[in-house]
Amino acid sequence: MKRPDDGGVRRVVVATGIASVAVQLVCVREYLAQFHGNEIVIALIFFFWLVFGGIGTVAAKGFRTWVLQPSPTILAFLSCLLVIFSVCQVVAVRWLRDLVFIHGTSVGFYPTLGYVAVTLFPYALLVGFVLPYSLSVARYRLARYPGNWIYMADNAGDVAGAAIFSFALVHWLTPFQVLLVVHLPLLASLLLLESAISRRSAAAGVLAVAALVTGAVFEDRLLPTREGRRIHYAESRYGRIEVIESAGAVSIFSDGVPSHFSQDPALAEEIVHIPLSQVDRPRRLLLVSAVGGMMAEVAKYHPDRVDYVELDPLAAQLQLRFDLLTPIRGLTVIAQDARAYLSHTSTRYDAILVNLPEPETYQINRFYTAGFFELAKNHLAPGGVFSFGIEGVANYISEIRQQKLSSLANTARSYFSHVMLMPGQRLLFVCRDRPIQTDIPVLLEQKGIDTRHIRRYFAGDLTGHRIRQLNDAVDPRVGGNLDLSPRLMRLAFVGWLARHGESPRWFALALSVAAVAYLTRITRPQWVLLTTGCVNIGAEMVTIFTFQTLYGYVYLQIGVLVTVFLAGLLPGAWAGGRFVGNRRRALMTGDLLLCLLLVLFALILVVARQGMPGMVLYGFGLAVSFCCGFQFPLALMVSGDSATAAAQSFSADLVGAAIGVLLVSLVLIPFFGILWATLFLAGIKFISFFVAGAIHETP
Amino acid sequence: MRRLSRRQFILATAASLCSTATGHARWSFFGSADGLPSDIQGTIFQNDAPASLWKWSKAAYHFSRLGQGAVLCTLCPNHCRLSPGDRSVCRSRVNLDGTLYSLAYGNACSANVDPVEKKPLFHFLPTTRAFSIAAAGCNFRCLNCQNWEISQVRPEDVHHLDLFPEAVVKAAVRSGCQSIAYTYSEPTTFYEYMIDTARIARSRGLHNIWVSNGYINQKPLIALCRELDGANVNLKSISDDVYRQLNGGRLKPVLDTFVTLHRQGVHFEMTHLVVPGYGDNDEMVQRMCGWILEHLGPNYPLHFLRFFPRYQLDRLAPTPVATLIRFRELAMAEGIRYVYLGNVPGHAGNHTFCHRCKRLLVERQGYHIPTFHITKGSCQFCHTPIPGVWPADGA
Repeated sequence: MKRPDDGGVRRVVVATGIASVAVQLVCVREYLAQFHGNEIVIALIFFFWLVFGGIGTVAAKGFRTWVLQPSPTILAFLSCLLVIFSVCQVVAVRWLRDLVFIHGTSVGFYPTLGYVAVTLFPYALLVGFVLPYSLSVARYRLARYPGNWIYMADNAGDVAGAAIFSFALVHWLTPFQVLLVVHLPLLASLLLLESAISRRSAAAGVLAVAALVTGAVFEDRLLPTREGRRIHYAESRYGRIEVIESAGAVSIFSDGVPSHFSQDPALAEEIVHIPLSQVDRPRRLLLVSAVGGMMAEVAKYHPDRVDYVELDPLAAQLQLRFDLLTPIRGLTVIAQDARAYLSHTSTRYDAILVNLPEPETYQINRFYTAGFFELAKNHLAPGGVFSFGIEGVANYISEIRQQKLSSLANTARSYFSHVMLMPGQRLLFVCRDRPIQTDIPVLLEQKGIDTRHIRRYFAGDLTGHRIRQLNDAVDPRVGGNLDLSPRLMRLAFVGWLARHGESPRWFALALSVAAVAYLTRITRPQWVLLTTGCVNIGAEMVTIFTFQTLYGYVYLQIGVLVTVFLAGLLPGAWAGGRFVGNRRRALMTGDLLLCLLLVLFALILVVARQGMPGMVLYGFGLAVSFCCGFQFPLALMVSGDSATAAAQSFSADLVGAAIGVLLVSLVLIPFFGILWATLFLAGIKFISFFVAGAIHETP
Repeated sequence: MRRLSRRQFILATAASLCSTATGHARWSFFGSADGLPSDIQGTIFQNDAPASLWKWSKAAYHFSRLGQGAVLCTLCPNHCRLSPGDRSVCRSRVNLDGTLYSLAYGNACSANVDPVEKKPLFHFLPTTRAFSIAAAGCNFRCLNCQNWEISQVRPEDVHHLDLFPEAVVKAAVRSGCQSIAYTYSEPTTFYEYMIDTARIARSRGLHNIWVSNGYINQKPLIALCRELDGANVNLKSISDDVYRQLNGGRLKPVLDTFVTLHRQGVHFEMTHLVVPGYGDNDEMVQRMCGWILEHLGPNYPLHFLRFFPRYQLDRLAPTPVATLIRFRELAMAEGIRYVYLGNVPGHAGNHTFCHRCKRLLVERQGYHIPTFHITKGSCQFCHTPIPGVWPADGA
């Protein structure tokens, strides 16, 4: 088919796609920095993005008939508004937090939900609106302009945006600089859009440029305030890092949370001496992350070799630069994922000390699973010790905490003959194959090691009674924490809600009612698209979590995964658009293929587990997204390919994706594990297969 | 093609401004909309009482009956007015059939043996141990509570240790403790349990320690003072705004508690957690010390505690040690005689110096006391009386 002249509309759509995906990724990062986001927050962002985008798409159908007639000028004006909204959105995410919430507090589920909704609303709504509006502008010029072309142009832009962001921009630019760069193609495409320049759109363009430049120039000043002086700020590949100095104390904030701070000898002493005092002569040590003051305590054992593994090289660099870690003899800083490091090193250590934050994200959880414990065990020298910690227990062990510590203790006991839980600043799990002694001051005295905290406070804080109480709390019936079935993740979710005295039941209820109401109003082709949207993003989530579980949170490669899940859509849509056979049967074939792909993926998960090569994940992503992309034009054409059908089909796809992201991230994976989540998605497509079979094609 | 008219543009702008304004008003859901600090005070829980009493129920000692089966809890300044079936702000009191009951009587959820210095009490029988108990509930909503898993839940939701007053005293004696501390959560909320235990404990020669936020009404406090030997009461801030914003309480009743303890002759120590960004400035400390000196005098020990990110207040860095040291110096310069640093191991701010001769009287190495120069409650060097409950006094 010869490309009709649309006056540059398609170019605008591609550029909008590039910018919108990059804005979405920048926003994810902003929310993570403001809310110390776990996967729940990420899921909420995707959810609202999709829902508001869907509303915007539907609104485009009704709104334009009485207010906005198709016009390149208005399209240009709206696109400039998008640019301005993107800057305002990031500023709002950063600044509104302290206005609406109490400064310094973490925020619960519902306030997070509300905040994400309010701050995302303008941009997401408008971006959803612009896509079908662009189609109507193209059709205003050329009545038979195919809707699929806009869909494909949008996909091409999305793929390009995700790739540019993940492969290039994220490495070199700050958030506002990213916004500036990704909007340049959009602004250029508006200049080339025929009949787009008017006084109003030109003014909007000037304002948009001004907003972008202002953001990029005043990046530092637009960061939220902290107590003290910000002496360093950087965007690492893994998050936002700020170094704050206040009255001589230095704190490193990672994504808004104080992760490392000076002047806390108690914590450093406990996490070093409780495990190391067990070993006769610890010569080779492996530290997985570290806390302030730790190296000075480690040095008291005069080890020959200390390998310090830190995933984020910048975090390690800053800790050394700002004296939170003192360089000691034999220290080697290894900037690598600890699981990846352990899986290829042959070194055996006398002690492996894991000093990571709470296992409340999939990124961190993978260091608290059976898979990692086994890896650690295989790298311990005879008589060696392995330790890790979670948030300390003050004076009471709640039900959730009991579940958590039991799950961890039971997991560790599968690999170590002795596992001792030690109370303190953090609840430490000391694991080894030889008996563990709890009178740490005596052990330290025997080694001639002096301490400031343990010597003075141990007897009162870590009494025999408290140690016994803690170890007695381990319930042997609680299941272990596995890579593909992360029990700790569901406990983290439940714990987060408990901490804020909340229950998600109202949200779940409201969502279910809305979903049922929506499902009763859609046609069969839209149902197929809804399940396609759900399965596409659901499979993407499954793949991301599998990737995180198997290989770690490698930001680059997760960007690649996002890209492959977008990349398949475009050729799929192209193939679907050119398909001339029986479309109903093709839709059914698409459903069946998706179903089979998901079952196959589940089988590979069962068989290969840790051995699953990364290429399988990429291939899976491409295949799934190809099938999903293939189904969209088919369903659209089956529905009649009118402007109304296009808007409804876009929104069915988006709503399906919104449902999928919540379902998979918040319910299926945490509560049933990755395997069952995959099979559930296959089940959805199996049902869709029959629905597709019942479609009566519109002539 | 129809373009937006000027009128349509104005209407659209007005509509969006209205929606923004409405949206702002609705933000009171998250925080305050009036520009004042947020108030996180708890509310009563309607129809949340259990259907019937359980073995840990006890008719409350302080309440009044209102009409139509309602009751007014007069234990703390929250003054919960409960209709039948309602539960108090502190979650441990319910109105069943027109009578107010505590659900925490004998229903301890935590029991430990702690050094008395851990409370912290530095002028109260040093190096002795306190049998420490807690039941669920609190009349505050502190965002940095380290015991939130027992303070912010109902008595029905925690593990039960089933320790009635007599059993508590026996356990304390058996474990060699010289005192019983009512602590961890907010003991005012298990008042009946506390005061009955305290009476038995006192009759057996044990001391009673109250570790509290001080949010209690005068009448129950005066009754409690008769059984108390020592107390550690939190002075969270000298600002009512901070009390409202971080703790969900008010300042005035807490100040009244200090005055009452002082008048009743109960030895008490004050703790002040220095939360970065919420009163970690010299003016606040000076104002706090000014009030203490004016109403309580210079003798009651004051502990500046170091804040660590906890519970919901977990996005602030720990208090810099230099700030605590500066506040200690400031408080001493203002005239408070005994000012200590908490959560700062190894610092001289843990030791007791005679306010007159400035000699080291009690050297604290954590919970160990290698140096002790107080005899019969006085400095061994210059014989100045040192406020507190010392071994010779209490034996």
